[in-house]
Parts: sequence; C-alpha cells; structure tokens
Amino acid sequence: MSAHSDTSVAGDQQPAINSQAGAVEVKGNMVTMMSVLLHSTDLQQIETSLADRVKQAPDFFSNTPVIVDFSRVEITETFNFKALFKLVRNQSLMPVAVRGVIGELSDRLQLAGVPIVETAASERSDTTDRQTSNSRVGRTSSLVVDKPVRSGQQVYARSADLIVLTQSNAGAELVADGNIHVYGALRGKALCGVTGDSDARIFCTTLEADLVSVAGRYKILEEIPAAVRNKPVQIRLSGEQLLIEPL
Amino acid sequence: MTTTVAVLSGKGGVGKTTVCASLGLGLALQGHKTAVIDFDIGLRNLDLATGSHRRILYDFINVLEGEAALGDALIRNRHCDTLYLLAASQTRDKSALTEEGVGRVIQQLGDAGFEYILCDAPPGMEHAAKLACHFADQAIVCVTPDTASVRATDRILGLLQSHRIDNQPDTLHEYLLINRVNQFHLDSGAALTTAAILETLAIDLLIEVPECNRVAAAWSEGKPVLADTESAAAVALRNAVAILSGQPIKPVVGEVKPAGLLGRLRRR
Ligand SMILES: Nc1ncnc2c1ncn2[C@@H]1O[C@H](COP(=O)(O)OP(=O)(O)OP(=O)(O)O)[C@@H](O)[C@H]1O
Ligand SMILES: [Mg+2]
Repeated sequence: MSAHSDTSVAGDQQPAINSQAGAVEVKGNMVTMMSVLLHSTDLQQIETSLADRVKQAPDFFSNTPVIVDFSRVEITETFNFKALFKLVRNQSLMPVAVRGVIGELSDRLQLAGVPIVETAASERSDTTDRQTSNSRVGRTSSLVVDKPVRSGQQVYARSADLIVLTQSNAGAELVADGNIHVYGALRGKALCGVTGDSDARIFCTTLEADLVSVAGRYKILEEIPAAVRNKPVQIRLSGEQLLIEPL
Repeated sequence: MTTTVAVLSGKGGVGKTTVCASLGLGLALQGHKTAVIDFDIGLRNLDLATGSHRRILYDFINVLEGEAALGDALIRNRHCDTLYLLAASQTRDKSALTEEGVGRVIQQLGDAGFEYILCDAPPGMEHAAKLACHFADQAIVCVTPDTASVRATDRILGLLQSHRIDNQPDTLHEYLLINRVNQFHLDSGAALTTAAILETLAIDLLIEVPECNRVAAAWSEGKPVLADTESAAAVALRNAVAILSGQPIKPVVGEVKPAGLLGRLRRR
C-alpha cells in the first residue's frame, strides 16, 4: 500500500472506493495470535490451568482466537480432540487452528477439517538454538512512524525495528521483528521479536500498555507491576522471564 | 477559491449535524456563498436542522444519477440567502454515491462560486463518510467528552489516515470539536477534560462547544442554534466560524482558551 515494501501500516483497510477490482482480494497477512501451549494431555488438568489463566484477565481473553499447540506433548490414538476444543471454547477462547501435530495424527485432523499451521522455524528449536538463529543478519532497517498509532491500527516492522515518534493508543498494535521504541505513551499492545528474536526489547517513555510481549512471552495489564506503569521503561527477556525495568 | 470541510465523528449523535448547520449559517452570514451537503443518505437530518425539510424537490442522489440539475436541487435557506442545502435522499440507496459523482458535484459547486462546502457525514468511516472526506481540505471531527466517544474518534482518525495514504496526498487537515462540554460533569469528574482528550487524540483543537439547552429548540424551529443570541453554544460556534474564515475571535466567557492552538488554526 505505501512506500515501504518490507513494512506496512494497516488499519481496517477496505479496497479503494469504487475500485473495479474483483469480488475478492487475496492478501498476505501477518497476524499475531496467541497460542495455548499444552504441557499435559489430561483434559482435567488443562481445564483447571486454562481457567486459572483466563480468570486473571477475563476481558482480555474474551473470544480471542488461539492456536492450540501440541508440540510439547505426546498425543495418543484415543485423545479426545473434540472435548479439548470444547473446553477451550468454554473459556471463551476461539480455537482456530492447531500446531505441532505430526504424521498420522496430522492427517486425521486434516480430514476432520481442522486447520493446521506450521511451527515457525524460530520456535521449533530450543532456547539455545534460538540464540544462534537470532543473529541480527537480515535486520536491515527501521520503520519510523511519525503519527500516533490509533485504535484499530496495526503497524508491523518486518525484519526491522519500529520507532514511534509520538504515541500509540488503546486498541492499537505495534508489532516488530526487532525492537520497539515509543517516544511517548505506549498504549494498546506491543509485541517485539515476533519472529523469535529473544534479544528484542521494547522501550517507551510512558508504559500504559494492555499487553507487552518479547519473542512470544507476554505480560498483560494485570501482570504489569504498578511501580512501572506510567513510567519510562524497557522490557526485555531474561531467560524465560519477561522483565519490565524502569529507565 | 473553495474550501471544502467534512464534519465527521466516531460515534453517532455527538452533534455533527447541529455543528454543520450552524457553521454553514455562520459562514453564509459573513457573506460567503456556502453549501451544506447531507451525506447521511437514508437518515437525512440537515434539512431539519436548517429548516428546509418541506421544500425538498430534488436531492443529492437525484443529482448524482443525472435526474436533476445541481441548480434545481440546491435549496436556498429561508433565513440567509447565501446558504444552500443539498439534501440527502431519504429513500434511495447510498450506493449511488461514487467518488466520480461526488467529485463532479463539488467541482460544479466551486465553478458556481461557492466559497465553502460543508459535508455532513454519517458517523464512523464507512463509504459515505470516506467520500465526504475524499475531497475535503479540512475535517472537523466531533467528539463528546466521554471515553467511548474519544475511543471511537481515535479509531476513525486512524481509518481516515489509512484512507488518505491509499488515495490522496496528505493535504487534509483535521481539527477536533469537543461538543456538549458540561461544567457540572467536569467538576464532578464524570467528563473527560479537554486536556486529557487532546493528549489522547493528539490533534488540534478547533473549539469546545458547551452543553446548551437551546440546541433542541433550534432544531424544532429549523433555525441553526448559531442564530440564537441567548445560546452559549452559539457563542462557541460563531468563534469556530471566525477561526475557519480567518477572522479574529471573541473570547468565550468563562472558558480558558489555549491561545497557542488557535493561532495555528488560521486558514492556510
Ligand atoms: N451542544 C449541545 N447541547 C445540547 N444538546 C446538543 C448539543 N449538540 C447536539 N445536541 C443534541 O444532540 C442530538 C444529536 O445531535 P446531532 O443530530 O447534531 O448529532 P449527529 O452527530 O449529527 O447525529 P448522527 O450521528 O445521528 O448524524 C440532538 O438532539 C441535538 O439537539
Ligand atoms: Mg447527523
């Protein structure tokens, strides 16, 4: 759409008014989606722990689409997928696809019409591997946004840092493969290192976000300590832990 | 030289039509030949606000479809003969609104010597609202001082920005009009302050219009509230007219005006 080939600023874009284009347009989209990563195949256990998680932020999770990720568990022939999806839906999450299924199981799910998404290369490897695959080679540029990023807009900096000169507002989403800098209030969601760079960081002048994430680890509003809210901070990963530190 | 102004909002019912009618009348009273166009097809209201509702022969859609000449569809205002209305159709489908057609009408109005064209948009940023902005030099975005309205405003400012990135050079200037400012609600903390709204939306303020119980009477009389000498809202709206047309403004009694901002609002 705009001058950037590698990066895009998207709202709910509708085709240009009165365009003569066909009835559909097929577009590539980069969507950040939450996943439910299973550590157990016991439905009872899954239900309890998912309910716990959702209870912490019911608004945040209401009708959120999720990918159910089986990559950390061993699935048996008899596993009841139907019951699993049902219990996920009961927590007002919307399972839209599965990930991390292989072989015959994958065929079976496909036959049942369950969409399967590929596991991203950067996520397939374990933490140590990820470090090496995360070399900054290929991160060539940064995307500078000089207008406020508003509710309903998503800005994605592909293979780049995202630099917002003013602010982002509630309902906006900042997404970057690299770092995110916001020289003003950071509201809405900010996800850096989305393709797996665990060295990526978020910097902002005032932290007012609903969700912040580095390489897939995230914290929601309720988990952000009051001491760092409305403060200048940096957000980074230390091992598996997401740290929010005053600047 | 024609200046085209779109009047928009995120949420409905925040006062677009009230504002559009008053600004139109104010500019016309200064002697500028002014047209107000109702883009709210199917839910027309600007005819009521300007007291022209019983005199509509042809409407905007008739003109777009080539069923009437523009000159025959323009309705001259009863109170001010430099103010004209192009009414929305109440019965027809808004799909008749096309970029080409709207562009042609705006061009014709310019050729006919209209100095100001005010477009009263439906709420949100759907087809008709986009078209109302498409040819505009300025957009007045109306908001009421509450969280829901501010959020919706932020949303349409974003959509407006995307639309412009896709379709036209970045020449449109947006101003915020905060309507129904209520001192009582401000004091009790029930309403958002202007400072808080401007901080969130990060756009220039045109004016704050107070809550005013004469607005309803103006609607039922079919005479824009700007003409009401007793109305507090009218004072603010007259100042908005002055700012739009580059005249000096009268200070609004009892309110602190951010002078620095107003200075920047002079017509480019
Ligand atoms: N400053 C004000 N003080 C008091 N009442 C007001 C004020 N401004 C608008 N109103 C009232 O608010 C109502 C809605 O106004 P109006 O029709 O102008 O809004 P709108 O944004 O055009 O609505 P829509 O989105 O439906 O087109 C009307 O009843 C009007 O009388
Ligand atoms: Mg209206």
